[in-house]
Amino acid sequence: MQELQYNNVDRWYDFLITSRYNKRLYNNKRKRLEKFVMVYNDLVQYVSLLDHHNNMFAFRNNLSDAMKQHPHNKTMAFAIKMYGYGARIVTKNFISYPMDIVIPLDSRLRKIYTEQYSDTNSTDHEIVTYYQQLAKTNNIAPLHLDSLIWIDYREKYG
Amino acid sequence: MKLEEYIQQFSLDEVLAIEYSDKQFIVLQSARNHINSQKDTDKELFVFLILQCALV
Repeated sequence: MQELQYNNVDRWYDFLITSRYNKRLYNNKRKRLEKFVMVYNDLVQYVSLLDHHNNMFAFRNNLSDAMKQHPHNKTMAFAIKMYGYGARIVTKNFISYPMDIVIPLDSRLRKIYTEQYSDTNSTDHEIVTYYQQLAKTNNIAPLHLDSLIWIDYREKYG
Repeated sequence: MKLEEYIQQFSLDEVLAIEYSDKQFIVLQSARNHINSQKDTDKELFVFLILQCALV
């Protein structure tokens, strides 16, 4: 599979530069894909990729370690969210996202927070902590909360 | 409506029902259905490609 992985970095890059959307930071994205290819074998050295479905918190930590990213990094959280979707689809087994994986904080979540609290001074860490607390209080993991906000709340009240 | 009040209305099952209407989920499910119809059963590769996609 190694050859396929390397070949498809070029394919992703070709796709990105010709895509109508997501037209930013091509070279950074290419480097991220190359790094992922480099570390992928370590991530599946002892377990298959789908085995991580049972422990997505550890997988997020391993992935962020390998990619040299902070575990709260938006892309790491989003990658786990999409991994969870994919694993759910192919295994037909629903496993809730772990409560300890923080929400992928982006501009729309910052906007919702700042509008609700008229607070433009909070740091990203404080905003992430707010969503984390909201998730725990309602017993809905932050990545599921992200879906709810993204799909329903934003449409009705955003 | 305040986000706190809004979220209190939902159980996890109700959130999941909404999550299954996520365009991202629908696209992935549709892609998997297409792949299955082509008799390609490589589940690991499918998830690997999703991870790559999420990283860009």
